[in-house]
Amino acid sequence: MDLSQARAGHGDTAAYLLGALNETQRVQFEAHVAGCAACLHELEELRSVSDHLALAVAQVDPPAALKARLLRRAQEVLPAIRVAPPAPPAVPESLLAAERTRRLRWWHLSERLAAAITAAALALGLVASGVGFSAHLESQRTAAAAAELADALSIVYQPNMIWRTLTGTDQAPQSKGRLCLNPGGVEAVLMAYDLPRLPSHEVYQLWLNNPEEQQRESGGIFRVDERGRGHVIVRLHSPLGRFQTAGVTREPEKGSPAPTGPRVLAGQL
Amino acid sequence: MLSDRGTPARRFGDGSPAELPVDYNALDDEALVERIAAREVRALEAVYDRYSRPIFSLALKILGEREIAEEVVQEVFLRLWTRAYGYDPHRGKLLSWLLTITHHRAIDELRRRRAQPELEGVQEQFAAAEEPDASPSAALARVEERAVIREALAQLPEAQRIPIEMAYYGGMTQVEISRALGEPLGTIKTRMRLGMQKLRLLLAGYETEGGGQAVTQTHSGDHTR
Repeated sequence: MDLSQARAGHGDTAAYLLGALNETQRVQFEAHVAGCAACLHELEELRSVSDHLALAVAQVDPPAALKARLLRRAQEVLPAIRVAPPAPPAVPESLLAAERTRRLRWWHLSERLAAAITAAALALGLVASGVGFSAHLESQRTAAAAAELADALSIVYQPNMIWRTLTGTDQAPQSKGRLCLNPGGVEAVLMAYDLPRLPSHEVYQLWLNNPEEQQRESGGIFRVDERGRGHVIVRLHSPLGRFQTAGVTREPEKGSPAPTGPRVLAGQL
Repeated sequence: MLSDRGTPARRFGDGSPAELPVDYNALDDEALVERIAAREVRALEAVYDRYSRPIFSLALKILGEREIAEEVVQEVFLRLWTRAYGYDPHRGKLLSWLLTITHHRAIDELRRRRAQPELEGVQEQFAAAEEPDASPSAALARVEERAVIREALAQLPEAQRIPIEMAYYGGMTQVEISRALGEPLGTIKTRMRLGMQKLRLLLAGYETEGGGQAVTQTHSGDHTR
């Protein structure tokens, strides 16, 4: 970063918090503030003011129907897990600190990414349908899908991510999986290709294994589309680096606490 | 990054007795977010019950149309549902995080829908959001809730207050505000900055005197940590 780039954004803290910067300026400020103690201090100092502004508006109750609609949509976007996850093991404070720093950097960026993708998806939906605002409301499914896509991309585009390949077993020799992870992090994304379609009462489930310590954890369940493509976002409570292998099995509709069905993908991490 | 506070220990097949029913409304924000990350939809419902009102109110103030504001609210809570781990309690309160996302979403939506910024349009939005309350007592309560913060805004010189309101509630960029008010960009930047600093001092004083009630008074059942 040269001097002019480093200065770009300096003094824009108030405008940033008020949302008064355009996209270019916003990106410049976020890059600047990471290396400017004065602006970072001012950002922390003035952040509460934007909260006050948000709460100063006339308070209006949302319509009762909105809650039911939201909870229905939430279940469609990411079904609630009915199988309880294992209790998280203790995580070293050093890892937590590193994770907090990483999230601080990524929080705004991933929000922007999600907003951009959602906007693009909504815009595409409008253009494709060729109708007006009523179509905008109809396209909530598109928006939710875009939000999940943004969620996955916000992980994939994090720094220090590596890719591992899972290959099809005898059960699905043509299938392939690509797992994107940071061994020091707790998030990953599996993308699966050419998996057989499953009946509605079955799903695919990702497993992360540590054979040496006889540990295994579920990475989540997923379905595939008509072309055999699917993905799952993995979120664990401890670093992925402790696992040596990964596999995907066929399981009952709500997933299983341990693998019960045939393995279709397997690979080293 | 999230503590295990409020989350009962759970293991597969360890023979532990069935969990007791959970009173989600009694859990604090951090515990609820942990449960949302574990995809417990009742936890999402509890956060919605707690914070949907200020979030909807902010979206409505900025966008001026109920249907679009509802859409933004839904988007914000879906973001929480799919990205609960993005919330770091060490960085601030959950409500603050949700309001920041709401503001970003609402402003983005407003800018997308508006080809040309017009000051009159912004003022109309202010008026539209000021809906008549259902009853005089409700109206009085709401006025009281906002009084302190509004008073602080009112204490700002007009030259500082107007650019702040145009930016935060009107979704205008500093360049657009500069053009609309016929003032140099540098002047607008300075006025917004001075205004924000003054607001911080005014509201910090209130918080000290009022025991930090400026935020928490605005909604019942708050579990601010």
